[in-house]
Amino acid sequence: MKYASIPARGIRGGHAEPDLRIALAGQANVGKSVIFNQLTGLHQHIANWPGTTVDKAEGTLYYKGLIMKVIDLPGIYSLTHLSIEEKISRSYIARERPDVVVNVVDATALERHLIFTLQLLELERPLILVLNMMDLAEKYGIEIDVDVLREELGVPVVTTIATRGRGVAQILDAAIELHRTGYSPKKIRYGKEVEERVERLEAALGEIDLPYPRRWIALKLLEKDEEIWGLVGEKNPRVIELASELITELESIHGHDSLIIIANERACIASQIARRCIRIVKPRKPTLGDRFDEIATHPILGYILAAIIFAGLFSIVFGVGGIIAELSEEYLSEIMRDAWVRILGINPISEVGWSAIESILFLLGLAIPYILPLYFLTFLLENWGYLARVSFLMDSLMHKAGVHGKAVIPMLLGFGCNVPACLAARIMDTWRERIITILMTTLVPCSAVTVVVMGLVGRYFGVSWVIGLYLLTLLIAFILGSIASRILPGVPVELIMEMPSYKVPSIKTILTMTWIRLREYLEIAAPLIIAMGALVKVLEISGLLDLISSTLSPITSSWLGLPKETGVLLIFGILRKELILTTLAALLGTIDFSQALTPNQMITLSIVTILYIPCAATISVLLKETGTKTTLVITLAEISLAILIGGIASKLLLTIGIS
Amino acid sequence: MRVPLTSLSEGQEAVVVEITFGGPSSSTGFWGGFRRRLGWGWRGKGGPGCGAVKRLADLGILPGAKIKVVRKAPLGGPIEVEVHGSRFMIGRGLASKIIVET
Ligand SMILES: Nc1nc2c(ncn2[C@@H]2O[C@H](COP(=O)(O)OP(=O)(O)OP(=O)(O)O)[C@@H](O)[C@H]2O)c(=O)[nH]1
Ligand SMILES: [Mg+2]
Repeated sequence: MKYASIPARGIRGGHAEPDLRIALAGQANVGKSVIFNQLTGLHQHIANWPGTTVDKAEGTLYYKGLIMKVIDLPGIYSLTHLSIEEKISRSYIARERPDVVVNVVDATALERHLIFTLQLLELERPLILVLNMMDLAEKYGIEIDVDVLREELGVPVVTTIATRGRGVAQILDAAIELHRTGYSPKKIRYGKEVEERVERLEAALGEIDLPYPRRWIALKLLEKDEEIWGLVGEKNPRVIELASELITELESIHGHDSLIIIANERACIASQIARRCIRIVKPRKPTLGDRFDEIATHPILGYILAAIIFAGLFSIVFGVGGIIAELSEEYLSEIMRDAWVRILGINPISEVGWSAIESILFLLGLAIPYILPLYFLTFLLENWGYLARVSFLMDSLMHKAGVHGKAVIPMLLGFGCNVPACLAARIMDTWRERIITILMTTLVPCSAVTVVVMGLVGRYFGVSWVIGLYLLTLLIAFILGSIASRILPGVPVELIMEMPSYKVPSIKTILTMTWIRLREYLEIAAPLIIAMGALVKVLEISGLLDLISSTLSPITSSWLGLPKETGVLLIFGILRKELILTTLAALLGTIDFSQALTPNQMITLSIVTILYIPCAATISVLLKETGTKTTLVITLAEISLAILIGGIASKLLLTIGIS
Repeated sequence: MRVPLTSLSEGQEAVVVEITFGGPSSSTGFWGGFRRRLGWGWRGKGGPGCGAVKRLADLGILPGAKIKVVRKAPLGGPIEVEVHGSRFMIGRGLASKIIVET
């Protein structure tokens, strides 16, 4: 196979009207976002589990004198009966009418993907088929006759290895060519019984005013698509009557649901096409991944391996973070403080200034050392493909919390940051499961929480205490999940998920993603941390701090047994959890917290930090994903839980002699 | 012989004969669609796209498809299957509704 790899240059945010709008559509985990990033130079998140992209993204590029707009759509499996992502993608393709739809498929599983390609063809938009992952296809001994495929479907076919940028420019060439010459796909026809009824419906629809092709509407009516059913019903209720008659006929002929009948028609054609163009040149030998899976999904070894992997990851995070944090505490802070006092002396203004500086040091010395490895390692884990195996192992356990195994993916991502993790909860199939998953995910200690817990408990008690606290938190999340699953209406659904093949993560991609996220973090968190560091000193000097502290003291000092000043920390902590530690440092003027907090207080404060509220950014995602009411319920539930458990823990610790 | 997918052993192949409707019958099927649209018996944005039978169909797990059990998770966990060269995990409860001919 020959590839020319012309790197397409990306630019950010073009203003001019694009000459060509290209939408990337296809099933999940086929490499659409990799292609999008290659084309536009932007940084969509990439991961080796199905459902990474949940919203559409746009980018612009110049190519051969044309301004092109590229749209990355969420992966979808069908254009009938839609989930959120499917709605986004379908409405984009059908209503916004991109000039070219690029259907990316996984060359190692062509037949399955063709079922979806046939659905796209029904929408009658100009289509290009991209066979991605050609490297893997070759490895598995799958040969695809591109000419036959082109002939069979009547659309241009491009082969790519997206991760290496191979063939990506050819997609653009094909798009330009297709746009110029116009589009003439082969008309794909299904079985006689279906086609007859499609025709009758088409006739009945007449010149109905809807932004979809008529044949497509007819097919969707036969498939009982909710949205189309509603749209047509408004305009022409008679058609609906006819459709239900025809459906009953079809179902009685075949003895299956009409949805299945039509899906079957597509599957038959897909399989015919696949048979004509796919050649297995060598039998698929068990790959290294297959052999690894023997262990990774083994009934006993699998769990042991998972424990080892996660223990390993966390010891790296805690270890690396701990060492850097210790170094920075010993040297940086003291030297800087001395210098500062020598230059500015001790007065209110220099105190406020120092407070801000202290926060920066804190960010560099204590926050970044934990946040950076956590980001890096979660991205690595995501791209490797192991998360899907964890879903497999944990499925039966997760059912006890009313969700299936897929829920572990958002939860594990939560250790990095809860914001993308809550968005990832969209991989759950129903509203009910999404809410339960989000609830559990918000309790997962994110990297910011790790900063606080490591800074207090990890530093003075050791890592095993941190791990203990985290396990306790996961247990609490699990219990809350199962309570929620009993309260929420609806029935549990079962796991259906592709098992992605393992991919060798590209270190460059992962480093880039880590850097992008770190930069985002610094842009948002750093100003806030510095401002809050200064603000707390202002509050202290002006006497407002006392007021806040006394107002909250019934909870903080009487019940939780914490110093009064923690009241203001918990308020700042709503913005970002690491502010709890940075403002504490600013208040104390040191980062040796053992001077101000007893061991009992450190543990209690950590527990409260883990549980007490999703941070502001997470709350805004919750609002978007779950609505105001649910967000309020989750937030209030977590605040009360934190106070309850924090108080109990503090008293329990006393009884075992930790005061 | 017709058996549920769950009773195949690891490595065994069969052909899907039918997927027995079960589970949330109030929100699948023809009338379920109406009930849902009227907001009866269903809450949420997911829509009937969540109907397991439909999701299986989208992945090519349909009557007539060849299916191979790759492995079974312990403790009533999911089953990993191979269909048309791709691999899927299917929850045990759902797998028991997939009837296959060996
Ligand atoms: N070996 C190989 N891996 C690839 C290729 N293209 C993409 N990948 C990998 O496939 C995985 C999925 O890529 P994404 O771009 O996130 O897939 P997507 O289609 O955007 O997926 P969703 O957002 O979930 O719909 C990643 O791990 C990529 O590194 C390829 O050509 N060869
Ligand atoms: Mg994507």
